[in-house]
Amino acid sequence: MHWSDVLKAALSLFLVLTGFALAYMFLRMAGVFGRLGTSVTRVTDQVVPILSKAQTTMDGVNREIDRVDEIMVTAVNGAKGAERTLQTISSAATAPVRILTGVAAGVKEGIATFVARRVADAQNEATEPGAASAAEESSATTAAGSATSEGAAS
Amino acid sequence: MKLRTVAVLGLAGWLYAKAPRDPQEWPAFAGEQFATLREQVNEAIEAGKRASERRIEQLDREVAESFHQADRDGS
Repeated sequence: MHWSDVLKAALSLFLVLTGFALAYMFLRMAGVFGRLGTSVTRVTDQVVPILSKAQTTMDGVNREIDRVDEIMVTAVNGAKGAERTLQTISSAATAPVRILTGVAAGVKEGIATFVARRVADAQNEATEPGAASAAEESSATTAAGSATSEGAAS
Repeated sequence: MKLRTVAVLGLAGWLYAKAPRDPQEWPAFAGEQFATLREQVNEAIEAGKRASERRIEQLDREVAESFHQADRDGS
């Protein structure tokens, strides 16, 4: 028996063992891939309805958002209408009030002015006779002085 | 009745204090008093109109300021 025969036998044994090992590995991988395919199929079967439900939910959410938008627009329009109504009511309510307030202020000021003018006229009237008498006295003094000077001159 | 009596007595007192003794001067005195009274009343009416306009403008400003304040608080 030659050494080359031994090497060939060892190589043959190695190749046979490698073949068995690869066959076993491929068999296990076939099982793994089979389970993986099954899992992917299950996941797909479960995810697709979920995505469909999510799509339906998103459509519902979009519809609700549109409704909320419409509600907000309606609320804004209502608020504007309420503001205009409030301004109209306020104008209608304040119109008589401002008239009455103006009339009251006018009457008050008119009475005060009338009374003050009466008092001022009465005071002027009271001081005028004194001024008149003073004017008369001054005119009499002037006349007497002029008469004296005329007498002295003559 | 008492008020009327007081008014008549007051008028009589005022006439006794202010009016001339000579009845021939009464028409002139009355005309002078009426002219003075008309002038005072006209002056009071003009002052009342000006005060009324001022008060109304002030009230309008206050109302407008209230609306602006409410808008600022609301926004």
